[in-house]
This record gives sequence, C-alpha cells and structure tokens, in this order.
Amino acid sequence: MNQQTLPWKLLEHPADIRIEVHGKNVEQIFLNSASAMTSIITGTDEHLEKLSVKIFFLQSDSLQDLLVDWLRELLFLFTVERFVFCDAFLKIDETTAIEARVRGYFMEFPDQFRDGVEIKGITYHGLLLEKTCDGFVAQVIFDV
Amino acid sequence: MPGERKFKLRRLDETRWEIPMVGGMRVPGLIFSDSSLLPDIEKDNSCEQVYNVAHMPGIVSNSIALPDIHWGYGFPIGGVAAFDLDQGVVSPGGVGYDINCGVRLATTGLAREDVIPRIKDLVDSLYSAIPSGLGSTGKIRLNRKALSEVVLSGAGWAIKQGMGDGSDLEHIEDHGRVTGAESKSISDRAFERGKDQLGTLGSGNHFVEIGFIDEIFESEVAESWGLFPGQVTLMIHSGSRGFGYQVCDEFLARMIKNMAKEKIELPDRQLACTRINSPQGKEYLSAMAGAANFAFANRQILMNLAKEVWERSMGLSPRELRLHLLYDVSHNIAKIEDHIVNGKQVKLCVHRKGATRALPPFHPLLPQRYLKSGQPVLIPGDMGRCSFILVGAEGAMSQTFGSACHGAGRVLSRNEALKRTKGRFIEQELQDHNIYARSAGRKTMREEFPEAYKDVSSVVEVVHKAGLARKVACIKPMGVIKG
Repeated sequence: MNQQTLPWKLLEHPADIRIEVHGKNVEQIFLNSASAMTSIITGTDEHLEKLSVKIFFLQSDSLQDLLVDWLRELLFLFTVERFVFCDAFLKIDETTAIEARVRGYFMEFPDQFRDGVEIKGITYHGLLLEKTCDGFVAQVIFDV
Repeated sequence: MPGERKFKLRRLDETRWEIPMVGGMRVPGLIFSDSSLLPDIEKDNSCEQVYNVAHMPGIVSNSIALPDIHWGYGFPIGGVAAFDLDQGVVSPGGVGYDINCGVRLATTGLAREDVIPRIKDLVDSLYSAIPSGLGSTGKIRLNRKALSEVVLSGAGWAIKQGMGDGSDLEHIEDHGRVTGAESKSISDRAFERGKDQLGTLGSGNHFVEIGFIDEIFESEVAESWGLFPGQVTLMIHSGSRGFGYQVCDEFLARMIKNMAKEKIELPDRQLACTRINSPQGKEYLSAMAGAANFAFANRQILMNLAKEVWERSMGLSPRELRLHLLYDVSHNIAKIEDHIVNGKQVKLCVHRKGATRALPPFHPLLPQRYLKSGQPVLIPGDMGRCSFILVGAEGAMSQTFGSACHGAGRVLSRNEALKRTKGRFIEQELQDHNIYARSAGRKTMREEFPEAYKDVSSVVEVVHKAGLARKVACIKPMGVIKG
C-alpha cells in the first residue's frame, strides 16, 4: 500500500486499526472509506476486473451512523459472500440515506489475501465525520 | 496520546491506582498496575476509557482495569465492570465483537525431550490441518437448524459428535455452555457469517501453541492439577469467529438508536447499552450466550483436531499422548453472578472485556476438581517469552468481581510493529530461541512479534501481588501457529 497517493492514512492505535479519510464531498468520504477498508482486509490496492454489481439502500439516524452502516454492509458482503468492493455509484440523500450501486468481484479462493487483516467490526469509538475548509474528513476505528 | 484529562490518577498502594470520582462518574476508577507498567498505560486513552465506563448507569463499586489494560473501543481491553440488575445496563461493547474469545490449556503425558526432535513436523501438520487466517473455512458445514443446536449446547455439541470426552465439560468455564441462549435472538446474518467458521482459528492474535512447563511456583497446586516440570502443553486461543462479531455488531447498532429513548447519556457512543431487564437487554444476553456457546464449541473442535493430528504426526496412541483439558476460560463475556457488595450478596451483570474469571477455593461455581485449589487462570503471553498458569485467589472476589488479567496486553500498534520489524525475519529469530512458528497471514509474524506486547511476567506479578490470583507455573513456547 503506497500511502503517499491515497486519500486515507493509518493513525496510531495500540490494538485496533484507526484510519483518517479525506474527500471533497460526502460521497468521496464514503468511497474513500470503503477503499481504505478494502485495502486493509485484502492487503492490496490492486484488484481484478469489476465483474459484479451489488445494489442496496441504507437509512440511518445521522451521517456518521450512515458511514458506519455503509462499511458494515460492505464488510458483511466481504465476509459472507467474498465480495470485494472496487468502486460504487452513490446517491446520498441529505444526511441519512444512501442508495448504492457497488461494483466489485468475488474472491477466487478463501486464502487469496494473505496480507489482509480480518476486521471484526466497525466501531463507533472515536468516530468522526466533519467539514473542513477544503472538503470533509472522517476517522473510523476498526476492531481487528 | 490522550488530550487534557478531566481526572487525576491517585496511587493507593504498590499495585493499585484510583481515579477519584469527578463530574458524572457514578463510581471511582480502579487500575491495577505498578510503576513499571503505568507509563505505557498512560501513553494511550485507556485510563480515559476507565473514566468513561464509570459513567454508566447502575455500575457498582468501581470501573476496574487490570494490568494488561490497553486502549480498546468503548471499554478498555482489560476492563471489568459490574452492574446492578434493576438499574444497571448491559453493553455489547463491554463484551466485545469476539464474544467469548478465550483460551484453553491441555496437558500431555509427554516431556519436552519427547517433542523437541519432532516439533517442526508437528507444527507443520497442525498448520496444515487447522484452518487459520483471513477467510479460512472449516470442514464442518451446518445449516441453521444444526447450528442452532451448537448455539444451545456449546462444547457439549462437539462432544456429542465425538470430538472430545464427556469429562472435558467439567474443565470448561460454565461447563462449556452459557445458559439462556435462544436461536430466535440471533439474526439470519449471524448464522450466515458463522456457518462455515466452526473449527477455524481466526487471524491476528489467535493461536495454537505447543509449550512446556518451565517453572513451577506452587508445587502443591501444580501436583493436584497433574502438572510437572518439562511437561508438554497445548494452548488454544480463539473465539466465536464471524458469528459473534455479527451478534455484537447488530446489537450495538440497535442500542445506539435506542439510547436517546432510554435517556442514557454517555461520554462515548461505543458504550451503547440498554437496561439489563429491558426486552432488548434480555435479547442481547440470550444472543450473547448463543455466541459464547459457538466459541466453546469452536475451541472444543480445535482441540480435538489438534489431538488427532498430534497422535498421527508422532505415531502416538491416545494413551501415550494423554491430552487432558486443564481448563477453558472466557475473556470477553457478560455474566449474571452473585457477589458481595457492602456486606450483602447481590446478583450483578459482570462485564469482562479482555479479563479472565479467577474464582478462589470453595467458590460454588467451581467444578469438584478445583474446589479445594481454586480455578486455573490461564494467562498467555507473547509467542517468544512465556505464558502463565495461575490459581484464583480470594482477593479477586473482594476487589475485581472475581477477575484477573487475560494476557500481556499490546504495547505497540500493528503499524508500529511493522515499522520496527522492517527487514527482520521473525520466524528465524524465534527459531534461534528454539521456537518453531508458522502463520497464515504474511504480516502476522511481524505484527505479533514479542516486543509488540508488554512483558507478561510483569503483568502477572501485579495480579499475584494484588492477591487476585497466584502464580502456579510458567510455560515456555516450543511451537506456534498464528492466524
């Protein structure tokens, strides 16, 4: 992972994995957070051709919670269906709903990602999503 | 690094620090540590998390941290908190995603010298047979109905399938089954996420370790447990896998939505909770019990798999290997238990998040075998130094709701561990110390290298001196499989 060119970085955390994500708008924050999580669980940023599409709709009580719910959904798809996120077309409605058309592919064999880290859950601890002078920033801690 | 603190730590004695009550704290914080370990604890936000937990409704006596404390999410790892059943709350974050992550230790009839010449073959055979690492799946595939049986029966399910001996159940916390599990409390998604993960180790800090007893501290207790110097042991660290993660994940999200309705205000949303006696509280405890039983079954299956491979690899009969379960303990769990508070016996919901139950002699929950001695308390260290077997002591009941530490506790982040081990070949370094190690994940060895953890000897010393549990034996590793 070459962090120089990525819109996200790892922050220090003794036991878990904490990321900071930047984006020009909320959609980018959601996409970049998903890319960051995928990079962590697969251990790579190089992915296969995007052959499959998943469509889903989520609604939450706040934008922060929506970010958690979005990542929870992608983590579930990865762990159960072995579906790897590559990119997505998102429609985020004001603050609390997302309509997602996600493109990705299915893992070819169970131990395909030997550099990956198993994420157990997306936590609410230290969760941050706020506007900055040039866009948005988010911080998320994954339990690993 | 923590920001400006709203509290000050006050030293009580050689092994205990207090966070006196300030602001919205309902009880003081109580941290077990010593002057050598405290600087590491103060580097991160774990003391803030002890302070935060002290704000939770119905918390009793103290918000407690054990000497392996480190920064978790919501509760610190190494945290214990007990709640009154009427006014108190239950919190999925106070149990953790890996519900009933725990450790079991089995002894063998073999001496170190018997195994040293065969350790590579043995570890390689175990590594091939035990599914480990990200995305690994087990050979046991169950539909929802069959998995519901696992959820209700725990380790007993595996024994019924021929994976172990009936006597194993006496050597597992709660006899390998937490009561109150109902499959209707558990979502289809949890069943989906767990359906092919029974009999898998997991990744990261989960492990299978072949070790030997290097030192005995209390010979009377050691003898009564059948331990002897040089004896070869098997230790397994794993949990409820995706099944438990999903249970925690869903209840946490549901409770976060409900917090405002229940008028519960807390400094950290990850502490999301609900009243123990509310419908949602009861439903969570039921689902958590199911996930705990999945974990008990998982460790039972893993031990049986290791036993079969070991016998085959070394050409031993079951009688020659003599693999006997010493004990199996839970690290991440909430339990309804009886405790004495202000001289009165009360029922409490005790959350242990990265903590081990440590029952003293003659506690009514002890199995007959450990009634006189107290409970074996298993404390794994890192893969290069050592692990400990302790025995539960009376001080645990009076100070920590019958709890001791659960391990060494991380001191370096995974990222920092990778930086410090750049260019190093950890497997070779371990082999130079006669430890043969293999891992499924390519980065695992470097992320889990010994110095990423506190020295478990120092952690255990605090527990011993504070009277929570006493040292019985020290185990050194010979062969390790990491997830």
